[in-house]
Amino acid sequence: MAAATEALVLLARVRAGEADAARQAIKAHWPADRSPFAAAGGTHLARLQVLTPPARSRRRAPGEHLLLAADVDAPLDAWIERLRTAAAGPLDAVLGHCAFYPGAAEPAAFARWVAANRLTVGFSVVGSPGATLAEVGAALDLRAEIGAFAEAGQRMTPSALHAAWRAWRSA
Amino acid sequence: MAPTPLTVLTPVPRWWSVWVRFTWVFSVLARGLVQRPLRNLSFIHFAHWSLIHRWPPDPAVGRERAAPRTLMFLTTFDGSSIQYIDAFVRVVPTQIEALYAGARGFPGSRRFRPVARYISDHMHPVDHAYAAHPEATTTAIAQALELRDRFAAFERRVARGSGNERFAREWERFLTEVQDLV
Repeated sequence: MAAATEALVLLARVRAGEADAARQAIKAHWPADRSPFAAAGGTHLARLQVLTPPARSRRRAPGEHLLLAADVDAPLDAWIERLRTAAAGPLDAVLGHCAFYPGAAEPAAFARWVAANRLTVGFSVVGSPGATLAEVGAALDLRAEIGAFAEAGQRMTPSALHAAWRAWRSA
Repeated sequence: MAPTPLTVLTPVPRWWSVWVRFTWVFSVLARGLVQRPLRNLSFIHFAHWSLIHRWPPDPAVGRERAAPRTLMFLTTFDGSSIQYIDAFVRVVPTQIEALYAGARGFPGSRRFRPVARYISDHMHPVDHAYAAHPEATTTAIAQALELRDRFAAFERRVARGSGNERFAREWERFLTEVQDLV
């Protein structure tokens, strides 16, 4: 059985001297309450951060990098294309500080850059590996509805309960 | 409460990166045996490990030589980092040891405080995090999916046509069966 989700781990070099600008762009274009990741559809979880690699020695500090990681509905390529079209502006604002980034306007060049900067995931643990985002959402909604129906039906007669059930399930 | 994202970067020597790759091959061959105790912790939404052999270059300065081989750990979980690390140390110390025993400066996986300090020293702040269902814990999602399947079976049972009394009995039986999931 094919997995319902796939992971993207993308690591790109931030151009020298542009790390603070990249952080500022994340603040300005990726607000917590209106994440562009939501616009892509099928995004379970995602993160964006500027990070400094560990240093080999104290004499020389490594350059900063940008990490974009996401757990999304499979297939991953379709999600990457959805993200590109839905969040081109926010992507360009941040990834524009990365080396070799071609911009989100050209689909093939964008896909090639993502592929070139993608890290292989060696080992994963996934909480609910068999469920797409829509299935998770529908299951959570159904759970809430069942809970509400159970509470409402507690003091109903069998005939009232059955009638309420029919009304709920045919709504 | 939204799940917590954690990013940990650990420098590893070359020989250890070879071993780490071997453990990943083993985990595939073991068909989920390695993942099971981690999944059973029931607060991990997603966790991924990757090896960075070469950090991406900047054309202006060339290949990145100042950064070593690195084991990258990305996870998103329910609760606090302290609870998370504590559970890891208690429940899966062998798996942690298998991945990190050869990492530079790793203090061993048997005691909480040194591991917590090590992770604190190697974690990197996440600038932007997104969760589609920030209010839903891993357990809540797993329960909702399980409830969905049981509810479908219940619906098939009562769809065959039943009187009011029988429906009420079936509903009561269903609720009793799934009371821990609702």
